[in-house]
Formats: sequence, structure tokens, C-alpha cells
Amino acid sequence: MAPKTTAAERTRRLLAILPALTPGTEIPLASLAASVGATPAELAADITTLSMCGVPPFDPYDLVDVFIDGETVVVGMGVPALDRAVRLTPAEARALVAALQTAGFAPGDPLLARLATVASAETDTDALAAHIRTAAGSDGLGDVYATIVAAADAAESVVITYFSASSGTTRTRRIQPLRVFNNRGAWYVQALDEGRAEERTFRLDRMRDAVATGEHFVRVAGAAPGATFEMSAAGGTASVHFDDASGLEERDWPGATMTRAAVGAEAQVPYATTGWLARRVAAAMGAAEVTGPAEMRDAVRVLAEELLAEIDG
Amino acid sequence: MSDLIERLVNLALYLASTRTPVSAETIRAEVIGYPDGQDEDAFLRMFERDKKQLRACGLMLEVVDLEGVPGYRVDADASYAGEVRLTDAERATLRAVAAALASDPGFPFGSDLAIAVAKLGGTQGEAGGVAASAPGALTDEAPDVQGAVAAVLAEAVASRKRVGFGYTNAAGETHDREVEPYGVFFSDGRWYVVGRDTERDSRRTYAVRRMRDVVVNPRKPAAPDFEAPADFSVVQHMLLPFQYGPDTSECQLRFSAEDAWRAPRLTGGQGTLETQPDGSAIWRVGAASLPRLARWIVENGPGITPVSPPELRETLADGLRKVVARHGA
Repeated sequence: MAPKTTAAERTRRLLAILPALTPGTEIPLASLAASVGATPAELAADITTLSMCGVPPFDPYDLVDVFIDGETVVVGMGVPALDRAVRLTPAEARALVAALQTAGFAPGDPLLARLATVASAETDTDALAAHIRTAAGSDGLGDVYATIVAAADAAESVVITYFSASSGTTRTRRIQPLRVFNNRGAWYVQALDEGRAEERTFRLDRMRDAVATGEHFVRVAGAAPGATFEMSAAGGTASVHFDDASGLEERDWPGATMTRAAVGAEAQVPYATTGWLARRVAAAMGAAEVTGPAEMRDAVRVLAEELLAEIDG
Repeated sequence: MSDLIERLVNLALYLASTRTPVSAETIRAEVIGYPDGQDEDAFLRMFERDKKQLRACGLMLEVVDLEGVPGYRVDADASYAGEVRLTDAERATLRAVAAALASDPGFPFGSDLAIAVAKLGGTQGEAGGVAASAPGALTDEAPDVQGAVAAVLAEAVASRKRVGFGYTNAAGETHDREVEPYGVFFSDGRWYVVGRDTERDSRRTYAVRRMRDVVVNPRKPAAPDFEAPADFSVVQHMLLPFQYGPDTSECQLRFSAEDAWRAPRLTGGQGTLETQPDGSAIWRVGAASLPRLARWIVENGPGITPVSPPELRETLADGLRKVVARHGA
């Protein structure tokens, strides 16, 4: 059960939306609720409370002129005060920094610096950078992230330079970004790969760069509102034996079914192409073995031979 | 609860609408919500709590002398934000991170994030939202617990309060720990805290998912228990898998020219990177385990080769020969 929202929290979100209550407008309740992390029912109750608030002498014209009409928030006259944004509290600034770090905006990024100007004086941005980190090694990733999500919003095709962990190569692709999602801190975009005419999932931190083309695509109606990381079994399912299961974590083998024995473990691991799984098995340095199918065993052996040749120069 | 919210909003609107400082008594008389017949002390305690609540919303009050009594008004500079000009891409970025993380139980600062983005212009009323994702995937292990505990620890870091907890290590042994938390970080779906273990008097990293019964020192909640070292940087503790261990030796690896662009993202701020004239990059990094570093090379290749020490190359080659032998025809 979700924790009960306190009066202080409800007050905070009401004060946060006051500047958004533009006189003479109608705002979808769900949209306004989502903008402050509330359910429509919660925000509807808050709006009802807000409509009874105002300034002395509390005549009708001194109250906040807002009401709920079905699924819509109707704003009459302007709010009597507090119609401009209030600074971010230290906790809000921390949340923003932590969230943007996941998207590749590292301390020192110009966007974070500009946002810091609207934080309260109590906010110590240097301390935030030193004491909170949600990502490391995000060189240039913020620009990629911003380009991809803006293109997804605008239904605009993007040319990406992408490293494929499966093939081990970096190539350019033209994609139609549909939606982004996060999995274990890594951001992905589900997109139509125009060259393959198929939907694919691309990991943003494997994009060297992303350039919007300015050309728009037509969104398919009824597309799923979200996306999750799922390992495709289009290539098949491999049987993998692990000599030692003590340090084995199932979360590192997406989609796998594992059976642990007294010492080792057996796993059935789905794969779309052989490259990714071959690399994972090879990284076990001989402590794991693909027992089938033959194409997967061959892929592991060939990869190891190629790596041996690479280090031998 | 509605009465309290009404009073707080009325107070905020009143103080924001008055241009001159007002006394507590005037506020009591003008603002609807303060009970009639309330005695003076009870009113003042209530008013102090209300001021604190407004401060938590970002509305700062300044106190001036009003003919011998305190006068209150909104500190405009401290309270009101100037306009931040954001590009469409930056607005889309804020919308996307808020949509994905604000209601993700594994993200410890969800409600603060939603309010922050709302204050910056919000996510409503625009065409956006297409990029929004289904939340709930930031952490794949007990997200509710990890998010809630990480929130407590982050607050303890900010307020510099000691925390105690039961901790089960990788060997399955459970011990009570007391830590002065210096920082929290997130890596690969898991939250961690770094701080000084007071019993062992050494800096340690603890995985939040292994903690139980986390308690913040309740004594003198407004007074810090410790000072974090001035040069502390949590990113220095976000080690790569091969860096955990007591003895570290320096290794050098080469990223090929084609793969050098991946180096800053893969190396996570650890060690130093130096671009070479041919476009390749040399990475100097400390490693506590050569076999684990060899694994890392294979996992993140191709285009990454060991340069030194010779033992690293031998470890990698030996491992790969075993792979070939086990997968022979």
C-alpha cells in the first residue's frame, strides 16, 4: 500500500502548481496530477481544497478561482498571489541532480549549472556532486539523451552512431525513437530501425552520437505506453553449464532459467544473436561452457580465437 | 487534514501578497485557519510549525523588527526563482526522467523530483509524454526497500547523522554496523552507502540490499554527529568489478582508435585516459584482481587489449585458451 501523503506534502505540491494555473485555461486533470506525482483523485481533492483558499478579506474574488469539471481543471481568474515559481528546496535540487545524472548529465554539465540558479541558497551543489552519484562515466551521454527524447516527442527520425555489443562493431543507423525506458540504471530507446524495418531496442550509452534529421515520421496509433527490457529468443536458446555457481547471479543472464546443483549450475539462456551470449560465456574464462546448440558453441570458440589473435597483435 | 492544508496555503498566499512585514498577531487575525480562542503560546507554536512547513515548500520568510515585535514577509530573492530558459530538448529530458523515475519505487527522491520538475515549468500542457517510460525498473531487487532505505541514507548524509543497521555480507554472515555516512551511489540497479565504520575506524562501502533495520541516530536530530572529509568524493568509491580487494596494481590497457570513444563511458571515471596520436587511448587503472580484469576486457570488447603488466596478458590468454579448449569441435 502506498504511504499516505502528508498535509505538508500536499501543500507543497499545491504551491508548486499555482504558477501553472493560467487564468482562463482548462487543464486536463490527469496531466496536471502527473506533473506533481499525484493521482487524479488526489489532485482533485487538493484542487477542491485550493478553491477554498485565498487572501483577506476572503471575498469570492479573493479566493483561488479554480474548480474541477469532470476530467478537467478549470481556471478562472488569476491566483491572488504566488503566481511565479518558487525556488527548488535542497531536497528537490538533490532529486533533480540524481535523476539527471542517470541520463548522463554529470556534475559540471551546463544544464545542471543553469538549474542550480533556481535552487535555494541552502543548496550546496558542490556537496551534491561529491556525495550523491547515480551514474559514472557518462561522457557526452547527456546530449545523446536529450536528442533522443526530444526526437521521440517530436516524432523525428534520428541518425545514431551505435556500438553493437552483439557484433562488436560501430555503425550508423537511422531510427524512429518511440519511447525510452530505464533498466538497472541504463537507458534504452525502443525504436523502429528504418534500415531493417523492425522495432529494436538500443542502449543509449552505446551511442557515440545522435543527430536529429528534421524529418518526421507518423506514430503508430495504439502503441504501448511503456517498454521494458526483454531478452529476445529469436536466435534460439542455449544450454550453458557453469562450473561454479557461488558468484553466479541470475540477473546478469536476462531471461535465463537456472538450475543450481551442489557445485555448479545449468542454465537455459535465450538469445537473439550469438554475439552477446558468446561474449558472456567467453568472459567466464573457461569456467562456463555452452553445451548446445552447436552454432552457439562455435560462436564462443570463434570469439575466443579472435580475441587471442587480437592480443597477440 | 484539509484544514491544515487550507491554513498553510492561506498563510503562503497572504505573506506573498503583503508588501510590508506583518506581525504574528496580524497574521493570526487575517489568515483563516488559526483557531479562535487559541492561547498565545499554542498559537506561536503552531505558527512556528507553519513557517517550517512553508520553508519545506521553498517559501523563505525574513524577519524584520516591527516596532519591537518580529515582522514577517516573504524573502523574495531567497524564495522566487528566476526564469530558466530551456531548449525543447532540455524540456523533453526533464519530462522523460520525471516520467520514468518520479513514481519508480527504486528511486529514493520521487516526490521531490516531481515537484522540482513542476516548479521548472512542469510536464503538463505539452505534447510530450511519448518518450515517457513505464517506471519501476531502476532496481530489479526489492525496489521498494532499496528506494526507501536509500532515501533515509541520503538524508543521513545530508544531515550528517550516524546510522546503525544489520548487515549480511557476501559470505552470509550478519553483523551490526554503525556508520558515519559520507555518500550514497547507485550502480547497476543497486544502491550503496559509503562511510566510516565507527567500530573498524575505516571507510567502507555497504550494499543497501544487504541491510536490515536501518536506524538514524535519534539523539539531537538537528545536530550533526560528524564531519565528512573535505576531499570526499563518492565517485572514487564507484569501483569497477576488478577493483575490489586489498592490493591494487597498476595496469595499462589500450582502446583501439575505433573504440576509443567508448573508453570514458566504460571506465567510469576510474584511472586515467590518455589519447594517443593514432587515435587509440591508453587507460591506466588500478586492479585488485587480474582475472576479473581479464573478464572485464572480454565482456566489454572488442578493441580493448592489455598492455601491462605481462601477467595480465598471460591471464587473459590462458583464460581464452581454456574457452577454446572447452568449445572445441
